[in-house]
Amino acid sequence: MFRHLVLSGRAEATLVFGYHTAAVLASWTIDKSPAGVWSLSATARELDPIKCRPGDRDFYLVVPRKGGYWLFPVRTLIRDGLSLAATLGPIEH
Amino acid sequence: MQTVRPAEVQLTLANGARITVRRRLNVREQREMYADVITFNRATGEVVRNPLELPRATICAYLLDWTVTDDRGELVTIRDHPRAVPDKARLDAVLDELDPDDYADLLATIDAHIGREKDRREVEKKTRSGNANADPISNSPSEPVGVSTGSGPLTPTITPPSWNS
Repeated sequence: MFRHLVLSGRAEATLVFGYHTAAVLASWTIDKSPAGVWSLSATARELDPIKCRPGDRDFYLVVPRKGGYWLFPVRTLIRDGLSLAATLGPIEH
Repeated sequence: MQTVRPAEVQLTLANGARITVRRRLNVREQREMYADVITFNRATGEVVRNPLELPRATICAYLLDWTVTDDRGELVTIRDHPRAVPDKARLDAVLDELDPDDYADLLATIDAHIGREKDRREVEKKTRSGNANADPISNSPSEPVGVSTGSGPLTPTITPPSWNS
């Protein structure tokens, strides 16, 4: 498989806490490093800080793709206004 | 006092279909459910509550996903992804297409879930208040004390006012 992979998209991705939307991401880039670490950098269009729960078992990044979506658990999250940087777990769906 | 975690519960209908529902509603979701049975007439300022809409509003408030199929056996999708909330307009439209018996089954299953969750929270409240050994359904005291609030003894404890004096 890929040693280094970068994904980005124009379709809105979302951060979700359970079935609640925590953030709508207007632009986003997902990077898989050669060491296998997934990370996200994004700009949110809407964000609800109360629902941002990095490390929680129900806190996920949902990324639309052709015919479906990808789900990444969000391990850590750094917010600077609407700019976000996160480390992700491996794709679960 | 605490916030409501957005937890999901899987239930099975009598007809075998599976549904996913909210474990419980938070304040916003409850407010939206109540608002769903109210119409506001801008011209007259009148607020009209339609009890006939309450079953549909309850289903819309709780239902997150299901395994319902159409007449061709294809899954009727109501959720964009496994973490999404169904679009209200789409859900309303799909519910209207259900067989009435299936609709009643769906409502009864959700109502039963709401009742179970209410009972569970009552037990939790008793546990939190330090009454951990209390029976979830406790007996009424043998003699009424103070004013009854609904589930007490059948003997009335409040004397109705007399209109003759």
